[in-house]
Amino acid sequence: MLQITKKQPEVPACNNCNSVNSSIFCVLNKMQLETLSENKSHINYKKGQIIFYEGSHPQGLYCIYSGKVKIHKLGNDGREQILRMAKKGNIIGYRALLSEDSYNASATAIEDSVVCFFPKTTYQNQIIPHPSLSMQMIKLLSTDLKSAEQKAMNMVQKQVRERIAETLLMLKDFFGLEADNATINTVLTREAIGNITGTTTETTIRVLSEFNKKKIILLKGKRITILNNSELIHIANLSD
Amino acid sequence: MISENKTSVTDKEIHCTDCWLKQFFTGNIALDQKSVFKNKVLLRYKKAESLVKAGDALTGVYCIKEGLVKILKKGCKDKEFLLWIAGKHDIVGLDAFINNETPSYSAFAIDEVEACFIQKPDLKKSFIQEPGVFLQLIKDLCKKLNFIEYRITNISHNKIKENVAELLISTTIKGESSDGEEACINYSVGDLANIIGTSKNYLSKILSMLIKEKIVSVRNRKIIINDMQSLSIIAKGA
Repeated sequence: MLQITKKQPEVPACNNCNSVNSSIFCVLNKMQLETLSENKSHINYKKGQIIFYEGSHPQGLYCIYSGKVKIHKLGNDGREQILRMAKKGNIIGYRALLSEDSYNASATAIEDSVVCFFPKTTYQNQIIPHPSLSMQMIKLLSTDLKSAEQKAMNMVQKQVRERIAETLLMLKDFFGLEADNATINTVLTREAIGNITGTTTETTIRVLSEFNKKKIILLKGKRITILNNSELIHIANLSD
Repeated sequence: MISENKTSVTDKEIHCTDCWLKQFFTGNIALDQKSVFKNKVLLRYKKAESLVKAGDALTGVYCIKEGLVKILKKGCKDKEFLLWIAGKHDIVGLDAFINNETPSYSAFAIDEVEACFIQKPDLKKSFIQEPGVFLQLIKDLCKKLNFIEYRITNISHNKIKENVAELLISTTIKGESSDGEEACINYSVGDLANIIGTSKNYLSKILSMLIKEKIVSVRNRKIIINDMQSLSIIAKGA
C-alpha cells in the first residue's frame, strides 16, 4: 500500500500551480481552485511504480504535478501495449470515474513523478456539479476517443516503419524538445517505443538503427535527436 | 446534416421515455414524454445508404432503433477502416457533437435501418434537464473508448486467428441475431477483414479452417456459429 502524504509545501495549491492553465481546471476561478485544493493530497512515485492497476476500482482523480506517466494495457500474450502518455497538468483515471467502472488500463510512472490526488468525494461534490468542469472532462474523453480511433486505424493500415516514425513525432510533439531544439525531451527504452507502436523490441531496434544510419535521427543511448524532421513526416505518411 | 430527400417516418411515433433511455430519466416521465427530444424525427435507411458523411456538419446525433450501421474512417491512400458497428440503442455522432467538430468518419446502413435523429438544441437541453440521460451518453462514449483501446491491444498482440474468433463472438452479440438456437452473422467477409486489419483472402482461409473444424458453417451467405465454446477457447489464445 502506498503512503499518501498530506499536502507538503513543495506542491502548491491548485490556484498557484503553474500548469493550471493547461489543465482541465483552467475553467475554475481562484476561489474554486482554493476549495478544490483543500482535500487534495499528493503522492510521490518512483520510476516504474504503478499508480493504478487495470481492473481495480477508482478511489479518486489523479492530476500529474511533475514527471511522466504511461497508460498501458496487457495483451493476451503478456506483452504490454502503451495506449497513451501523460505529463504535467494532465489528469489520469478520469474515465473510470465518469463511467463508474473499473480502470480499463494501468498507469505507471516512467520517471520520478509527483501526482496530486483528489478523493472520490471531491470529484462527486466539487467537480461533477460544476458544469464547465465536467464538460472539460467529456471533451477530453471525446478527444481521447478520436486519437484512439486514429491509432487503431494506423496499426491496421500502416507498416511498422511508418508507425515508428509517427511514434517519434508524437513523442516530440507531446514531450517537446530539449534546449538543443532537436532532442526529444523524454527517455524511453526501445521496448517502450515498441510498446507504443505495437511491435517487438527487436523490430524497433532495427528500424531505429536504420533511421540513425540514414541520419534521420541520432541515437545517443536512450536519447533520440531528430535530425531530419521532414523526412520523418514523409516516412510516417501523415495525412492529417 | 440529414440528406435533403430524406423524409421522416410518420407511421410510427416513438417517445424516448418508452425507449431504452426510459430508465435514465429522473424527472416525471409522464410529463417528459413529449418534451424530451421533442423535435426528433424517425428516419428509415436502405442498405448501403449513408447516415453521416465525414467532414459534413452534423446538426444532431442518430439513435439507432433497428438494424446495423457501419462506422468507417478513411486512412492513408483513402483506405477505409471499420471503426465499429452501431446496433440498436447506439448513438452515432455524439463525440463530434461534444467537440463541436465535423465527424472524421462516415456511417452507412448495413441493412435496413431505423434511426431517430435528435437535434442539437434538444440534446443540449437534455444535458441540463436530465442528468441521468447525460450520464448515460457519457458512459456510452467511455464504452466506445474502452472498446477501441481493447482493439488496439488485440491488433498488436493477438494472432489473426484469435482476432477472428473474438470478432465472430462479439459481432454475434452485437447483432443480437439468431436463427432459432443458432448464432449467426450477416456481415460481409470484407467488413470483417476490415475490422481486424487483414485481407479478405486471409480471412476466408481462416474461416475455411473453422468450417473444416465444424466450429462455424456458412448458410445463405451468413456465418453460423456451431460451437461457441471452441470459438471462445481460440479467442483466448489457448
